[in-house]
Amino acid sequence: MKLNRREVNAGLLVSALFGAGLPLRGQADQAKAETAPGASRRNYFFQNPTFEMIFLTSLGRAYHSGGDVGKILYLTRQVEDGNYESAFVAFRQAGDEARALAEESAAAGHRESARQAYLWAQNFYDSATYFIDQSRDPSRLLPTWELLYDCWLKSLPFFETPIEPVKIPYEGTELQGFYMRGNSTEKKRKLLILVNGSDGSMLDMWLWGGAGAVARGYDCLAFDGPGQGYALWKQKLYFRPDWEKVITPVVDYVLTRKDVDPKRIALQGISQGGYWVPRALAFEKRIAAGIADPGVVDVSTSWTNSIPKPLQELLQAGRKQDFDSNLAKGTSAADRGYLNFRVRPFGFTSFYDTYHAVQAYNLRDVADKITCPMLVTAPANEAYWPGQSQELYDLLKGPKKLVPFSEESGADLHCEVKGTGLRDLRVFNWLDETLR
Amino acid sequence: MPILSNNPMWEAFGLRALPYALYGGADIGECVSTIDRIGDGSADDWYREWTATADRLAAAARTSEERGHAVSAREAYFRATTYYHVSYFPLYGFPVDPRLTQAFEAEVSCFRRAASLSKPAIEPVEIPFEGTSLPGYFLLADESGRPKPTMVHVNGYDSNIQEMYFAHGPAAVRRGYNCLLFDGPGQGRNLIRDGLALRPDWETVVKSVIDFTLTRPEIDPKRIVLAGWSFGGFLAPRAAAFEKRIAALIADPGQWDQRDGLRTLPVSPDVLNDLDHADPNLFAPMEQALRSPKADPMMRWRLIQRLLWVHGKSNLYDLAREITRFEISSVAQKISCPTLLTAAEGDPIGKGARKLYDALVCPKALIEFTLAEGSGGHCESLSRGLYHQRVFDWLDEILEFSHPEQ
Repeated sequence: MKLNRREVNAGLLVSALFGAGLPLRGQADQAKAETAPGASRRNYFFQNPTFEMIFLTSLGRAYHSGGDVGKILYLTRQVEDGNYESAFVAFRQAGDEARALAEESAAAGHRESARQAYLWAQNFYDSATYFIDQSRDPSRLLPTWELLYDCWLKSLPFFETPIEPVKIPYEGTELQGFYMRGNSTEKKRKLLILVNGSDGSMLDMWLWGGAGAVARGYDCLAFDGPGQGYALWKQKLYFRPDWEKVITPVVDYVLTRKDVDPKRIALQGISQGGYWVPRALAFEKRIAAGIADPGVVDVSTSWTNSIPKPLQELLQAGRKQDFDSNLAKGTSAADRGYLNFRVRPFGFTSFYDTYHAVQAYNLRDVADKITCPMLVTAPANEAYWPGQSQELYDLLKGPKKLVPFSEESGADLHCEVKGTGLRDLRVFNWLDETLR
Repeated sequence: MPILSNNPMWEAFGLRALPYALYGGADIGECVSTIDRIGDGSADDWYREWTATADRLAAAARTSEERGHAVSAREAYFRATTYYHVSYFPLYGFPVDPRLTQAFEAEVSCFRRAASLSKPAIEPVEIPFEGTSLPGYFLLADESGRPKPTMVHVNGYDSNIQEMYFAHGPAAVRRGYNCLLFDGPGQGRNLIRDGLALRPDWETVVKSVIDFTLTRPEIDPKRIVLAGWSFGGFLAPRAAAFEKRIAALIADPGQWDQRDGLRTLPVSPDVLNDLDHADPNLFAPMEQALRSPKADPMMRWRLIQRLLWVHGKSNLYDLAREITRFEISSVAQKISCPTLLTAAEGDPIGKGARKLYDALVCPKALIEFTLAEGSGGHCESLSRGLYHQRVFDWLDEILEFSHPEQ
């Protein structure tokens, strides 16, 4: 079988913002915006869909004060469309600048100024991470993630109610968690547990759940599960499909806390968390409500649908060596580095093993076991798992609600990245009524 | 390179809304999708689409409120406030377009619903002034009842107390400062409903406002800060030259005599220096050009629709004479409290900041904001967060205040 590089690149769509699918460089060169992540009626800043999506997300984080609009708009003019090095450098420098502002304010005791600048720094560093693998020097990824994480840790004492770092016992080790106390005077409070996607940061846990929850009187618990953030980089724990094995220890932990109302625990997943949350709920019954934003029934489609048919056939035939060598031949060194990054949270060195493993991330055989009420978001222009929100909704047998977000509402795109306000309204109104 | 729209007016007005996302006054997707629907459309299209977005948010807010979702309701009312506010920008001018009044009333009504759902509550106040009253909002830093440092904000040409909330309010409250927003003559309701024009002796306005603050036990009378934004950056220093009960002054940006702004006009300096005796038809050709359909719409909006209305004048000659009355040079040395001036790269209005700075004899600071920081442009409007960081960090130190108080 012969595959040229262009054929491989043209279809490869292997990662995601939060979840599953930034395009490889070659893909961006194709004028096929209609199938690309972030594709909607028009592009606002960049033709390259990765660039467009990262910038829109960065701007969207301004809601809840997580983004400095003026600086992001300035960067849209500094960054060359499709030039990953220029995007990385711009975001990384903006992160350094914001961190310096934060440190200056923190040193003089100006808490809110410090908090906000630390949030902006995280926004910039996080955005930078999406460009590193196709930049000049991919080895800058870990140091950039370390800065991102450090800014998160340093921001914790400056929240109105400081965020509490917690340790969650898990399979002989501990997961790093962060407990956010809600604005409620109740002694035992509602709790929302937040599940991140394939590559999100703690900043996003605050912005896509935490801030909205705390304002509404929910406590919130965010954590890095296997393959995510700290667990990936510092503990060498990798993704697993059976997420109930993660959530059960998390629920065990929260039930040790006197401030948690055990009858009002909810679980939210964003991006790839839209698979993990329903998966866990099929087995973990101590949770009163679940949210999948968006619904993901089969994680693998974002991997396999985007490789050429001959490669798909090799995968199905179980021809590991042929699959790996053809994929390697069909990609540039930079693209392989990038694939390695996407593959890393799964813990395999072989592409085949990863493509094979991701087949297990599938809800079709377990979705009917979910009994708690579920909300599934269905944003228009969902590019990573299109159609799967409806599919998940249809599979559910318990109380359920499908919440569409139209293009007109401005809250379209994966995880409603530029429409957090409306997202919060719809998600929390439902949760309020479900846990009442 | 435009960001939101190839139409310069929609770009300018759209950027008025977008950055308020930082403080819950807008959301990115709602702004860009609304502007997309307008395209290169007319003022009618602009008004229709923004009010449509605002109506949708207001309806979502009402439903949320009825079902007891106070936070969702508050946030949606806040965003609807901004969208109604932005909707009527192109309709500015006298006589007042009834659609402008309608959107303004919807704006106020949404803001008041949001205010009532805020904690601590945002209190609508009426400040007695010359036999009438000025509308304001009083934002409490907390519910302790203890006296707190307090920001008193002076508005400029085309804003109002609703918009000022997003530009000033949350930043102050989160840092432990109370915040009093008010509209004076020529601003907000006083202009739209009552037809009151702007006035050069702004110290008379501020005197009444400071009198009002002293009736409130939550306000620490020794830590009152007078802060002006946009044209308020001229008005606040003017007032501070006479009003001695304030502890600090901020002018964003600092400005000099408004006569300076007229020097770009195609008129000789001698004539400008003695406008009262000049030919009243001096600006007639310019005015005719501005009123013609071929005029640059943004120029027409600034000079004809906005300035004539706000200053209560019917022609450019009278307007120019009025503007020369706005003078700071003769009183700048009377300002005695610590004063912070801003000047942002890319904002011609801030070019007078250095002149004012040099004339001041009080403790003083000048902070310059840059395009590369993202904080260039008038009032650092795209990056209010950075503005707030610098200004409040300075104020904390001037007032020896830290939040939470030990």
